[in-house]
Amino acid sequence: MSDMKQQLKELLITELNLEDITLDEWEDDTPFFGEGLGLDSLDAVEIVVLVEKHYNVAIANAEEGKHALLNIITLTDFIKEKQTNA
Amino acid sequence: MKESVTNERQTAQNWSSRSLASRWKHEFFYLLIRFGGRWPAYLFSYVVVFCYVCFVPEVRRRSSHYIRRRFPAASSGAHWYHCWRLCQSLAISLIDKAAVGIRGPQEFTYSVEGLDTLQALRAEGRGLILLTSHTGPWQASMSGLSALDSPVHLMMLRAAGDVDSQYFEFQKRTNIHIIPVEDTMGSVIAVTSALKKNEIVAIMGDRIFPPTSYTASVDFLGQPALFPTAAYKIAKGTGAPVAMLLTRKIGHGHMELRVADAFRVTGTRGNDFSSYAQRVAQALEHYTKETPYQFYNFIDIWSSNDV
Repeated sequence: MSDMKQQLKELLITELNLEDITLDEWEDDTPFFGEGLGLDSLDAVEIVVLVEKHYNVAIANAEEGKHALLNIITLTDFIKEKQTNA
Repeated sequence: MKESVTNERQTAQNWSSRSLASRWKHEFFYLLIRFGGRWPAYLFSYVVVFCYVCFVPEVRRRSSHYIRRRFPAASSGAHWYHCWRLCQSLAISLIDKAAVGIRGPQEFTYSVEGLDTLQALRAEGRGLILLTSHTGPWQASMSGLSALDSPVHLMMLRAAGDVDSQYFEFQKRTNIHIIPVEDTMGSVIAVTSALKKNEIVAIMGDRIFPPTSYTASVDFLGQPALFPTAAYKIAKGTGAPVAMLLTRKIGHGHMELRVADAFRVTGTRGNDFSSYAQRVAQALEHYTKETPYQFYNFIDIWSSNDV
């Protein structure tokens, strides 16, 4: 597992109080929303804020959000891409 | 008048912003306002509202949810009178909204009680969540916020075929932006982005938007009622302060905006925001005691409270 994926999972578990999942159980392709982690769209507010605060990467519009906030893989890829292009 | 439903779960899903009146009726009133001003429209509205209240049972049914709680001891005659007063007041409010849009904000005078509070909250640089509600001229009075010198983003749920124009749609001259809540992810990103730019986001404090899990059952007018809590979730996530804004029309030409409460959502674990929802309900209850006929939430928010 890449460091960033691991960091992001730890961050989300802590900050979003994800009590029903552990790092070991969390598959990379587990969807954030719906039946995956069980998050809802308002939890996206906290994810957007956390990503900006910890990685200095802004999710600026709905299209980016829908693309980046699918699972930990898409979020990590999005952050890396933004950091590379910065 | 907006539609209502009888079940909480249905409330958020089935509620529609569509007006009971058809497009041509709205257009008729817009024409009256455009060429004759507010007063001919006011006068004509008395005839229309009286007919609606007399001959359309649905109008009385929708009004009754609130009227029964606000005037629990009213006789059937008094109940009818209160329904009529409420509906007439709503009609005047809709005319005022259109008048501001068509003829401009100078149609009314405005005062903002607590403007310094709003300015201080904005000075923190974390944006501002303005909790509005279906009270008084809540849309038309947005013109009174020009002193804050910030775009205002309104989170709104609008049904397809809604013919009731918003005041800022008549002329493209205001700094009001709509965030449609139907696109939940899109609205969340838009809200977060606006707050990050230290702009104002207005969210209804008395209407449940999707996702519908963000509700709290709190005491309102003597009974448990469902209030939305999504705004507090957003405030918690972004750190934006919350200010509750109540509006009322005074006389025929003045709109009063008042900051009824202001707070930060801190120290809340999980999604239990009921204490904040209760604060809003209390402020609204106080408002309805003072201004009983300017509360325009026609949804039965008391119908189910098993959240």
